[in-house]
This record gives sequence, structure tokens and C-alpha cells, in this order.
Amino acid sequence: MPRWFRQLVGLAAALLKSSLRYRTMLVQLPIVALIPVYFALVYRLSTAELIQVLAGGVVSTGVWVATGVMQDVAYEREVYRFLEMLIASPMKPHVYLLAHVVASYLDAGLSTIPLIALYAWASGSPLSPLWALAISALLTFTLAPLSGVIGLRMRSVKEVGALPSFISTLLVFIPPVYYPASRLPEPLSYASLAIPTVAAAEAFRGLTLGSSLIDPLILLGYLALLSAAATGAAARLLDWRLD
Amino acid sequence: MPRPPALEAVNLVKVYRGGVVALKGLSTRIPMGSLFCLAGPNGAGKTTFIRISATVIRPSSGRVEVMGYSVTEEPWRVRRLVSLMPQEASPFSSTLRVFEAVYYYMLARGFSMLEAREEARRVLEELDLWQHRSRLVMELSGGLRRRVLLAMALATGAEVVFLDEPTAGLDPEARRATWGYVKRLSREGQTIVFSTHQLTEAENVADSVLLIESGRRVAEGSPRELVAKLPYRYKVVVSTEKLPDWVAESGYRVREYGSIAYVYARSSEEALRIAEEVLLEGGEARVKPVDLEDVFAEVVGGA
Repeated sequence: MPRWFRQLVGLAAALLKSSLRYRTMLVQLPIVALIPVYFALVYRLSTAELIQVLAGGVVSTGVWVATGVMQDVAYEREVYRFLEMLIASPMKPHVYLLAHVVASYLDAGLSTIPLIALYAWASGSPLSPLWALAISALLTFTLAPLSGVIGLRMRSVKEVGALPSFISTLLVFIPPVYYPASRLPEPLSYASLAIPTVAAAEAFRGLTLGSSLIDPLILLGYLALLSAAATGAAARLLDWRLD
Repeated sequence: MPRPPALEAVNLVKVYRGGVVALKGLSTRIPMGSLFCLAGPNGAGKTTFIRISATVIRPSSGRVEVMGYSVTEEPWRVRRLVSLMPQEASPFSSTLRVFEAVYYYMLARGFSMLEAREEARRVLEELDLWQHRSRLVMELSGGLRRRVLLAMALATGAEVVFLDEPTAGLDPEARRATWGYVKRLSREGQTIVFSTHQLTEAENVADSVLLIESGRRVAEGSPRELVAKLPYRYKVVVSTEKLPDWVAESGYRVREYGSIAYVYARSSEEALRIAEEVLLEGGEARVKPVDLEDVFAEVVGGA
């Protein structure tokens, strides 16, 4: 087993184990993701509309994971100050970030199971759980590396502060994630596909419901490219020092 | 080819954002296998020196080499050789158990599962922490948490280990266990660089001491050498209230520390004479040999 893989598994296992001991973490994500569904029920949307909202909830997991990485890294840097021990070690920064992403993704995956199951049942799409996991992983890998870099570069936890909520609002609640892109006026609906969360939600809808503005595989390809570009940018911006 | 020193720093300067100057041209050379102490008051620059040497932060100018590798140009070579116990840190997450914290840290450094398990067990036993292995870190006292951090840094078997105030907050028994183990590691060839602001600890433990004040080196050498450089051998400890006027008038060196004063003497006869005079005038006096505290006071010129 290569050294970097042992390091990745070791750190990810520590983070995951530690996080799972906070039992409240397991209910946090589904609650956040289900809030729009709650409003959909209050406004008595049709089953078809409810499924659209659920699709948004499933996909948005990637955003919570990514912004969570930013916060975790900032806390490890400033509050726990454990990061210093990892910097003064053979662990490479990209392995460190990857371990955070993997641990957060598994953690989020566990807590999003009820939402994914609800979607599979309501949409009648048996393959939807697999697509849900794959697309949210792709979205996670698009957003989390840069989010981690921001966490490392911020000078204090306070500076990180409201950034995750701000980013989540911009990426999840305003653009067509909890509702289909086709609800927007035409030029805007296509333009919105450039936003990674919208591309992910539309790809998910296309693959599980057969309804998306453009071919879902094109959207997946776009997300993969974006993920590679974001990872490359993060690698260049990573500074494994605490100056 | 001669073996490089464990650490060599030359004209090290660190200016933080905002203009705070933490190190002002510090130079030192730490031989392999030594138990080296950075001593000085709070804010002297000890932590900055350790953080630069462990590749956590960059120097503003000057250079540091660890076993011949530059911390700025070859940090990855340095990182394979060092481990660090920071001054104020939590071992991983507070919801890990003591054994897990050490074990996972070893894995994160690239050890195999078997090695990590064995080393974690060994170091926890050595530091008398094995009985706490199943406790969550969050349930531990501050002193125990620091010992877990220490266990993590020492379990790595790194060639050069940096310990920033390793015994702060530890009870005397834990201090004894810690230093006993650290001294043994040093005898076995590991280089241990630690910081403390307790000069008595530095004197009792270290092979070599670098006294720092305001980012500058004020003295360096073995505790015995440093003490031997003082012009005095003994000090008479007297209460400031009972300090007779003739002491200062006779030209003796006197330093006051709150309610007590030290009167320095060049020989035991001189010290006993001063003590006798003080006792005859109704005061109290104790004679002690001079130590690193006196060296520090002498070189920085403080009272």
C-alpha cells in the first residue's frame, strides 16, 4: 500500500470516527437538505414538484460537504492547532485535503441516506441512489478542494465565519437547484447550467427522471472538467505553511 | 564527510504581519543526539524559532537547516525527519480516544497499521498513559492532554523532535516520567529540542541551553558552563524587609525579586559571612549555589 494512501486512510478514518461520535451530525444534513421539502409540503406541491425539490436536496449534499471542509480546516488551524503537527510531518497538503473531503463525504453520505431513499421511492427510479452518490461526489470534488484552500488561507475562524452560509445560499438556494432550470426564462436557464450545483441537479434530474435542459452526460462531463480544473487550481494555491 | 548538525540556524529573523519582530538575527548550532533547551521569558521568540525549524512558518530572513536540509528550500526532506508538539493544541479531535489519537497520527505520518499500533502502545506505556488509552480526549485534564500530544510527537521516532513547552501544566510526577523518557530517547540518539520558561527545568534536564530574550541570543552552552561563567558561586537569599543597608553599601551584587533579595557571593566563605551577619541582625538567610536563573538575570541585566 503506498504511503500516501495509508496517510489518507489514517487521517480520513480519524476524522470520520471522531465525527460519528457526535451523533447530532447524523441528523444535521438531512434536516438542512429537507427544509425546502418541508416548504414544498406546506404549500401542497404535487408529487412531481416534490420530486424536483427532493432532487435538489440530494445534490446539495456536495455543497454542505465542501463548505464543511472549509470550516474543519479553519478550526484545525486556529482552534485545535493540530494542523501544525501535520505540517511538521511527511503528510502532503493534497492528501490532507483529500482525507477531509473523503471523510466529510462518507459522513454526509451516511446522513443523507434517508433523503436518497425518499427520492428513490417517490421517483420510482431504482438507480437514483447510485446516481445521487456519484453526482454529489463529483460536486464535492468540484467544490471541496478550493473550499479547503480558503479554509487554510483564512487567518481566523471568525474570518471564515459566515462564508459557508453565503456560498451555500449562492450555490444552492438562489439558482435552480431545488427547482428545475426550465423554470427560469430561456437565456437565463441555459446560462445557469454553468453553476456547478445547477449542472449537478439537472444531470441528476435528467438521469433519474429523464427531464433536463440538455443531455445529462454533457453536464457530467462539464462537472468532471470543472472538478479537474478546481483541483489543479487548489493544488497551485495550496500553501502548506501557517504564515 | 562530517555529519551535519541536527539543526543550524544562521541570522534568523522573523517579522510577523503587523511588524512584530519575534527573532532578531538568532544563530545556533544543535549537535545530533542532544537534549537542547530554548529558554527565556514569555514572548522571547522560542515558539517562533521552533515553528520555523519545524517548517510550520517561514523565516523573514536568515537560514535554518535540519540535518543539512534547508527548511525553506527542502521542506519535504525536513518534514520526514522532524516531529512537533505545539504549545497549545488538541490531539486530533476531542472525540477520539487516547490510543486512537496516537494511532491515527502515526497512520497519518505514513506508518503501517502494525507499526502504528505497536508504537502507540509502547509510547503510551512509557509515558504512563496506557491506563487512559480508552478515555476520550475530551474527558482528560489539560495536563493529560498535553501528555497525549507529547506521546504523539515522540511515537514517531523522528530524528529531531521539537517540543514546545512540553511540561507546562504537568504535575511533578508526570514531569519526572516525561523527562525520564525524553532523556532516554536522547541517549538513544534522537535529538530533542524543547522550550521552557522555567530555567530550573532547563538546568536539570538539558545538555545545552540557548537563552533567548526579545528574539536575541543572550547566552548559550551547557548549564554548568553557563553557571561557571558567572563571577559569583553562591547567593544568599534574604527577605527584602530584613536586607541590611550595609549589604548594598559594601558593593555586593543584590537583586530583588518581590519580597526576597539575592545577595551574590564569590565564595562559600563570603556567602556564609553575609548570611551570618544577616542572622545576627535578626533576619533570615539561606545560602544557595547560583543557577541558570542568575545567569539569565546577569546577561539581560534585569533585576
